Amino acid sequence: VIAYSRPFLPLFLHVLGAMTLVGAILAVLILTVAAWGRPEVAALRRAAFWTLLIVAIPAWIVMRVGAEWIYSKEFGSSSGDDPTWSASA
Amino acid sequence: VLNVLSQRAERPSETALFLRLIRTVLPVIAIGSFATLIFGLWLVHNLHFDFWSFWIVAAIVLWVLSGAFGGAGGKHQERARKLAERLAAENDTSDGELRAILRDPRGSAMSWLAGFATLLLLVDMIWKPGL
Repeated sequence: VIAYSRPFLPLFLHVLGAMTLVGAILAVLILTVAAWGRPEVAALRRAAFWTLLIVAIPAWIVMRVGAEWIYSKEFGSSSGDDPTWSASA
Repeated sequence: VLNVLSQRAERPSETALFLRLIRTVLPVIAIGSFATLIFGLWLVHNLHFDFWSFWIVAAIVLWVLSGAFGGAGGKHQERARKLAERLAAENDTSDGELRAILRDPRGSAMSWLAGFATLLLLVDMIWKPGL
């Protein structure tokens, strides 16, 4: 609803990246907590590391690039009302 | 992520462990899913959109489909988890039945369809066909 009349692709990438990032961080958190209680299960530590590397970090990049893209489209350099949601200082 | 890890695990004990971890995430997914619906409908009301607009009805249908596919995929995972736990308690060696369940395309298809419905939901919410 709040996406009304916004450019499609940058916003889509931004939200998709954010959704994936939240899911990946949650998975890493659960895997890390589980690995803490079971130090003998190396698969948990490996899974946490690779999930962070292959899913969470690329998702963060997609989210950040999407944010910067929509920022450049909606708030040009001459715009006075800088949004606070995109920390692009 | 946890579903893929359970399919790639070498031993039934690891498969069972990953599938048990999925169960711990379910309340978070349920809360997030229902909160999305409730806050979304609240926004529709506050911004005076028509509840019967095509894109809002489509979003609700996709939300229901996503939950239904996710539930069906969850049942499949539960079946795999029970078998993996039994095998882990016996000799922790995978057998043909567990491999068949884990590689059953119908089970994976349900999870992928749930993800696809969520993706379409996102496209619908941003594109808003008919508005």
